[in-house]
Amino acid sequence: MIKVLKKSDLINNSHNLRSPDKIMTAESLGATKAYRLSFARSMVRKMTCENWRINLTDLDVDSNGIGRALYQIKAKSTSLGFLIFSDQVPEIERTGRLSESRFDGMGVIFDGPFSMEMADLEYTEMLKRSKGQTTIDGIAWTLCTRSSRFFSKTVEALADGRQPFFSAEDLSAAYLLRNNGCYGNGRHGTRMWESLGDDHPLSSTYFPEMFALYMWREFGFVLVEEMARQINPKAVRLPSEFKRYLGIGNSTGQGMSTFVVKWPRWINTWCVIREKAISLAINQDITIDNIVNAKFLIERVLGNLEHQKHELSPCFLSSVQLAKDLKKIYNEINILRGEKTNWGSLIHWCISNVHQEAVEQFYSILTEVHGSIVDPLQQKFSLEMNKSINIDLQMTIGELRNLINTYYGWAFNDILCGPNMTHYFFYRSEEHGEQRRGERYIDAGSINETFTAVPTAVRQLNEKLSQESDTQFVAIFLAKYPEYRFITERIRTFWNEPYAEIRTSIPGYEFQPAHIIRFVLATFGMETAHFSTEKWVQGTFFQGAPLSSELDLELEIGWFYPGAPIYD
Amino acid sequence: MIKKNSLKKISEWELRTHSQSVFRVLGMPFGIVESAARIFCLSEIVSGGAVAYLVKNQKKISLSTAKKITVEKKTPTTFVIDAWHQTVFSVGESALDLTILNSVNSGFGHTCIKNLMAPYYSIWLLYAASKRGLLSIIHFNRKSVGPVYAIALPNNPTKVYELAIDPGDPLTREMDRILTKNIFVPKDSVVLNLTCFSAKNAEPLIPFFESQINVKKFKTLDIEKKWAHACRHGIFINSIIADKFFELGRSLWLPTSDRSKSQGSIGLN
Repeated sequence: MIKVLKKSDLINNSHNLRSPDKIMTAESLGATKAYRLSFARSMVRKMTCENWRINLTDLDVDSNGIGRALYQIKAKSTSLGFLIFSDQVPEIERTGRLSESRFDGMGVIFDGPFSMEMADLEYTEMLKRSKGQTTIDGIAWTLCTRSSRFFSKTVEALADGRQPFFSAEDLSAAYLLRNNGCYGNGRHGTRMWESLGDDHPLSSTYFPEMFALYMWREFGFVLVEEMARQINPKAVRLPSEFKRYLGIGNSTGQGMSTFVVKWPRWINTWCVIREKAISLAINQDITIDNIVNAKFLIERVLGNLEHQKHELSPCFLSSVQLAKDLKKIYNEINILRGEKTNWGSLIHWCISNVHQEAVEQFYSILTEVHGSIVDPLQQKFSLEMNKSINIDLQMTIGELRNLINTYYGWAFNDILCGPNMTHYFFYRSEEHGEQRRGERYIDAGSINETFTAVPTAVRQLNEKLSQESDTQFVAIFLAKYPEYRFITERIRTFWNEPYAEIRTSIPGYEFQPAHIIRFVLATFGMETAHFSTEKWVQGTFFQGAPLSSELDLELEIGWFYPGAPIYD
Repeated sequence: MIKKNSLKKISEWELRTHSQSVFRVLGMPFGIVESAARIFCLSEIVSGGAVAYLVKNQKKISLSTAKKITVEKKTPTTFVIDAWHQTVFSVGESALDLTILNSVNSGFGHTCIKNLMAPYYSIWLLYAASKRGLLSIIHFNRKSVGPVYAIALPNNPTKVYELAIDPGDPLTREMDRILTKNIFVPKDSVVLNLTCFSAKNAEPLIPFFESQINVKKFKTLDIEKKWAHACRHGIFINSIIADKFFELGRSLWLPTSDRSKSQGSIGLN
């Protein structure tokens, strides 16, 4: 008999992690905030610690911004390149969809030697969209579009010799360029992440994607200034403070929901590391310095929230309410002064007195306050995400059913059963290969669906197993019924990875993709997220991040919650 | 006519995801496509030819997917599987599970697969068994060289060694002796024999294999080296075959419905 652990055994109690029942619902995950180890923040720390040099070595664009640019990056001993094909898509053709035939920017991050002559072939391939293959040593392809609110207005102002003026509403999502996707890790023939090697500057989890975002932000500044200069050689430049406030826009749709089902080990790793970081931070002693830092960071968040859209959403807490709750926490911290304890009792108070999103925001702040304690966990991402285990091939059906009942019991919850739980289906779109959602009883093609219905599959397997002898080996069952291999392997692999499964039915009628999107984007490091519909989340990355010319400077605490630029 | 030097680069991700799609398009149940793709991808990366085989044999594979394999336990340590003309991609992992089950329980396990297509793409089975600490041996027919033994040692799971069978050769005779001792082998239409020895039972055999490998009668396939190379540089496949492979995989994709057009999407793996 295999040893079947109790749930409590799975949560490493030395870290006192939260129960997956609490945090793995879609709603709880939707409350997640970017934190110390979010990939964008980690990458900025690495870039500044290692003093990366980012040089624009080639820029050939006209007054419409059409042309090419090349960056050469020196990261420790590694040289990287970022090649850009810049275009100007007429407003009427710009829908922001990946099915577009044209984008304002197409870029490739690459290793190795390069000459501009090689660019033509790469450009031809990029125009093929989903059918294109990189011809240089590509790490990732990436696309962007210009912001319809900011871009032209900024070029016009600079060409007029003045700084652009933006309303508070505009500043809630401040960016010149918007990311339209990054395609690495094998897509379009790019290098697989695992081939980058530990000493490669982009080897950490999602660093190629984060770096692409950072580089688009950089290029946005160069592009508006160069276009303005070509219109008027006496054009002014954007001040650094304003540039620093601008981020890179991002809009992510419900296709993200399939990602979290496809990669249970990644999701488990992200959550385990985050929970450990939170637990470590909470258990640190409160000192005067820590209090000062925590209050400072709350003030920075509050300042940042003032410029957020005051939107009401069925999925997220409004920025007004979040600010109110953070002020309550701030006041409560004042009471702590002088006490010799850790943050536990304050957290207890928060859980009872403020919204979960505010608690999560405070957790995020504590991970920054205790950054040096939390930082070593960053190394574990790649290791844990890539680990593999040998499943127990001697398992009997009785043991498998025991695992299902003990660790996948949530799949039998009444709210996850019924026909509405598979109302939708996800599929790859013919136009561009991305995931889309169709309605099962209306749209054709559900036979080609992408797997997302974990609880339904678990129940179906359990039903089938109940017809077999408990003493029979699972290996024999799978030889007879190979169609159950995938879900069986999933259970046998992930039963003791507590955060691998999201306790919801992704194709269900009630499921709101915005929760999951926000969780993933917060893990990536999106600081400000705006609800659009329950199918979309928009926001910005890298607002407040140092410019490429500032990577040799020390990072300011709370750089990721920048204050809005002040106009004269 | 296929142009000789026209090659297309395919990444490991593309090989994996498109093969999963192709297997679904050809009618394989969803529950088995990941397993089939594992066997398929490693074979293409290490030995080549799997993509071309898939493209060329779509109809045959498609016809076979509706059939169910049958499993019979012939002796306490031997299973016989009738694959009903399915490929090793869809049958392989079940065969491996059963063989390992016996080898863990009884010291060694043996599975004969009858009526199997594409047995020479079975290298993953050896790799997976040796990573579990087992000595594993496969006997099959390779078109170009005839019958072959392929071996993976538990103390060096990153390599697979192939030996072309020569009945007059003492090494082959010794291999036959080791494998047929106490193992039931049906005579009719067997196309693949998979044998695994537990660590304890493998121990006395390993020095023999190691000494024979060193006399260079074995062809060495360095799995991890080839895998690392594929992850770094991709693999290169005749571009016409690669395009057909991609096209077949993409036929799983659906036209975007009008309602879906405002739904958003991502650019993640």
